This record gives sequence, structure tokens and C-alpha cells, in this order.
Amino acid sequence: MNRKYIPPEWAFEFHGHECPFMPIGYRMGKLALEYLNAEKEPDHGFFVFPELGEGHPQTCMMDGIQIATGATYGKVLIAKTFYGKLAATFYHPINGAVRYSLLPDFIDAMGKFEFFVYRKKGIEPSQIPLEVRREVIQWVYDQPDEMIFKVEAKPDFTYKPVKGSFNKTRCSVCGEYVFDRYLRMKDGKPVCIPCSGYEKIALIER
Amino acid sequence: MDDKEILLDTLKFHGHRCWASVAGVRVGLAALRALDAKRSGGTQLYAIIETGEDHGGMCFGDGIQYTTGCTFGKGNIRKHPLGKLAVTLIDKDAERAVRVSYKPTLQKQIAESAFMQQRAAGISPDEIPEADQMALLDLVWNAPESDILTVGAVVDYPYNWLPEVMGFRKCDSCGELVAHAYLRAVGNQLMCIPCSGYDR
Repeated sequence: MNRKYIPPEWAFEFHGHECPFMPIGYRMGKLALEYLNAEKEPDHGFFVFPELGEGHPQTCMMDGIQIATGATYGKVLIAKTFYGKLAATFYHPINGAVRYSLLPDFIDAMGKFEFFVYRKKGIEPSQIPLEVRREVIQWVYDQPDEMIFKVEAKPDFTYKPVKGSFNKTRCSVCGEYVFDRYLRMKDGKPVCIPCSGYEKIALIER
Repeated sequence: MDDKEILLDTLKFHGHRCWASVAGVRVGLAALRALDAKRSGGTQLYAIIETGEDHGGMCFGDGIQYTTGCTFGKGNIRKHPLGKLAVTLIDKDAERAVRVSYKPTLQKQIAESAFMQQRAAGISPDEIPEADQMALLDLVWNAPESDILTVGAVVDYPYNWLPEVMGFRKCDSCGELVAHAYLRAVGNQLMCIPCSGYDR
């Protein structure tokens, strides 16, 4: 069985450039679905918690994960833990959870490719010669799964998504709609969070 | 009230004698002096302390509370948890602030003190002989200010403080009182956060 799980052309189109990490994430996502006996998620029933953060490289993995699993940012099915690790936990409410991480030996071996000489100089992936990029991507494709991933069952892992509601109300100050979950009461009237002044620091979800 | 009396009252409030609460008193008093402010009976002062969670020396915060009057109960103190022994004291009316931090100068002496040797052996502060408690207390209390404190420049600190939102209302689900700013809308009902099922 071919388990290489090479991303389709449209995946690179969506991601924006050819690099090795989107395909690694794609393969990780496909393998996790297979492990959990789950299909690519059409709706809202599969969750991924990548352990990546920000301000470091290789976060492109997460686009591959989204593409493979259908656990997308827009459907709020993917959320980072900000541990700065090349790993992710995949969770299916019925079939359970599994954590995939990249093996350090694999990362070290990949790091020797010329691609990273360019990246460490601060050159963006799309500006690196295509043959340099394809060399490392092909090498990744050629590695067997067990050389790339550590796989751990997570029998105790659980996650309960918040209960959704369609209710919305217009803010009595600015007049814009607010979903009720985020409504605040000020002087007896419904207001949005910015108009309430109750939260001084904006909560930024990256 | 003289400073030594404030120290002894702080330690009574705090519950035991330790170096970090004395450091907090020194820092708190220095911050008040820098701002030319008095202990806050109301909420005109606001303190941001930099101690964190689950580390030694958090007792520092009680020294700050007692000297500045910025207290947990009045809500005019909060932690910016950096694991540091420092405070930024803000005078809201004067729109001025100062940051005072406690220097590492005495740390070797503190670590080698009879008090800390016993603390390291797992003995709780109030079970350590009083003479050892007092020796450590005096070490921090009697040190010259410039040796142990860094008093920063007094800076402008304009800020849009939220006025207190007065009043409570009963949660339509559990019936307990909820401050207005914490009510949440669920259908036609207003509820407390746990009853609403929302996360904030």
C-alpha cells in the first residue's frame, strides 16, 4: 500500500509555496485519520491540536494538517498549544486520540539539505530555487513513515467543544450584531465587548 | 506610624516572619515615597506586582499589600507574573507611576542564613526559632536602600480606568448574585458565567 500521502496540486496552490513542511503535515494528517479510522472531516466533528507556536519556522505543517483532515481554522477545529514542538494531537470524539510528532533524527537529517541554508539566511521559501526545494521535498516523500513520525495513542485525551448558538443581538451602542455568547450588559442594555469597556486587552487568537 | 511599626503589623497580617515580606515592605514604602503618596484607603493607588505562582518569595506581595493599601479585596492590585520581586505603583489621580525592584545583593547571605537553611530542610517559617527569624528580618530591614532597591524614574501613567460598575442581579438559573459586568445573555435570560456555559 502506498502510504506516502503526497499532497494534491491544489494543496500547494492553497498553501502558497512549495516547501517540505506542508507535505509533512499533510502526511501526518492522513496517517492520523487512518490511525483513528476516520474520514476527512466535512463538518465539525474532528479536532487537531498542533503544538506549534509562533516566531519559529516549520509552522507550514499546519496547512498540510488542515488540508488532509478538514479540521480547518474557519471551522474552529484546529487550535495551537504554543509549546513550540513539531507535534499534533488528533481527536475524534468516538474513535479517540493520537499524537504524532516528528522524530529528532528525521529533523536533523532533513536540516542538512540546501533548502535550509537559504531559509537560515532569511530567504522566503518561494524565493529559493525550485530544484533546491524539490530536492528536499522528494527526499521527504522517499522516507518511510516510521523514519518520520513517532506515534502515541492518547487514550485519556478528551476535548469538549463549546455549545454553539445562532442567537445574535444588536449592540445598543454601535448597532452591530454580536453573537449572544459575547454579549455584555451595561446600564441594563446589551452591548458588544469593545463598547462595554469591560475587557481592556483584546484577546487575539492566532 | 513609623516604618518599623508598619513592618511589624505587616508580619502580623502576613502570618509569619520571612525575608520576602520584609523586602515587600521596603519596596512598598520606597514606591510610596517616590510618588509622594499615602497608603491607599480607597482605590486611588493601583499596584502591579511581578511575582508569579508557586515560587519562593511570593510573600513579597503581602508586604506590598500592607504598605500601599493596594489589596486583593479592594481589587487595586494585580499580578503580572514574571517571577520577579518588583512592583509598579500607580497613582491614578496624579497619573504617575514608579517601578521599584528588589536587588540580588543579599541573596547569598539570605541563602546561608540559619532561617533559610531550616526552610530548605522543609521546616515551615513559623516553626523556626524566633532568634533566627529576627536575624533574617533585620538583615533585610537594616540594609541601606540603595544596596537592595532599584527605584525607577517616576513616569507619566495616563490610563483609561474603568469606573466601578455598581450593582448585582440574580442569575436567572442558579439564583446567586452576579455583578452586572459578569452577566451573560442566554436566550431571554441573564445568567452567571458557569450557568451560561460560556467560557468567559
